[in-house]
Amino acid sequence: MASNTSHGSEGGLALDPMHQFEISRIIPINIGGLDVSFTNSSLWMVLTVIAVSALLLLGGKRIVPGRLQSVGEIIYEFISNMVRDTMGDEGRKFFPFILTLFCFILGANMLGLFTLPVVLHPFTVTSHIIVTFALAATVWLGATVYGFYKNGLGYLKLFAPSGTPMVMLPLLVPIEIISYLSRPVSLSVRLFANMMAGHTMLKVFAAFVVALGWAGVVPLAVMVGFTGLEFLVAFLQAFIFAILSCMYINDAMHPSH
Amino acid sequence: MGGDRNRPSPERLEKLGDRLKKAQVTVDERSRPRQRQSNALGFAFRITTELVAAVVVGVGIGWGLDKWLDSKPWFLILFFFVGVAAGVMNVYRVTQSTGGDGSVRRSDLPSVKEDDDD
Repeated sequence: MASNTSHGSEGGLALDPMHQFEISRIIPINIGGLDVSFTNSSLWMVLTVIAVSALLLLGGKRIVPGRLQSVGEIIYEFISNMVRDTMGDEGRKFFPFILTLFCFILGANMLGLFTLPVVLHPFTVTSHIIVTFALAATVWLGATVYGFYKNGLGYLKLFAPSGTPMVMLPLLVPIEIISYLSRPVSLSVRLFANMMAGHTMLKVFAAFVVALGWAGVVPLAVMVGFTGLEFLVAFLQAFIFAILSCMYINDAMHPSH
Repeated sequence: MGGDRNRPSPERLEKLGDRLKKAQVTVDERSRPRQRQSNALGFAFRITTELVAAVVVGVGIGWGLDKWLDSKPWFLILFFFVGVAAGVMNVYRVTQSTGGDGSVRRSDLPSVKEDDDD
């Protein structure tokens, strides 16, 4: 990103809005032919965890909260309310999981928007579908396993809504199964597509700023707006991911559609 | 509180409670429109992915079955339509569970969920 925006005016514009998504190995590690290198993606995951932990742990425990503590408390209460609204009191035990999930996604989304031009190239972990799919698949598999653990085979009732005529079942069950299988796909695609589209758009507009010279003020103004919008999207996608996870876990607890 | 000193009288506490409630209502009022607006954006995208994901999964299953059973187009065609149906069902569910105004928050609690959607 730094090469596109700040140094681009030196001629020979390297206009590659997708460059930001490239994975590069920082510490190559190879275990038994398996490439488990520490990449820039891993680095930003670690940074995300550090940033989020710092926010929640270093905020302090004062009765009158400071700024950092306030942010932590707002996040905590927000997720706490969401868990109660979607899953009821039974869902309390999933609160730590949902809070972690939300904080990690929010942190990853947000960190990708900050930039330290020369030192570190910003990288948005959640703009890679494999990362979001891993998160979504974890939620989905977990919910499925919990559903069978909690309800036994009764969990299969999820695929046959009550009150359906027998004639309709052969048609409805495949539809329900595909609908169920599509959950992790839609969950991961939504987050990944939002993050990737937004970041690509920002970079494309950033290239316009440089390429248009004086008239670049116009795309620059648009960029400011878009960046604000990106912060909104970053929050919103983390929120949607978390609330849908809540709903899926709720379905696992009460499989009666 | 104040059991030993008796200073805060019940009336005063009640008045304080009323004021707190009023303040809470204003806070809620203030934050509501913004939240709904921002949710509408995510809501639109949510419906799209919900629809597309089901079709993708359907086509994937169909394609896989065809490859496995060597029955070239038939399972693909069948599961494409099943996938579309599942996608429409997903979208229908989303609109049902949100009340259609774009707010993602689900109004029906688990206790009353049984007879709500079929």
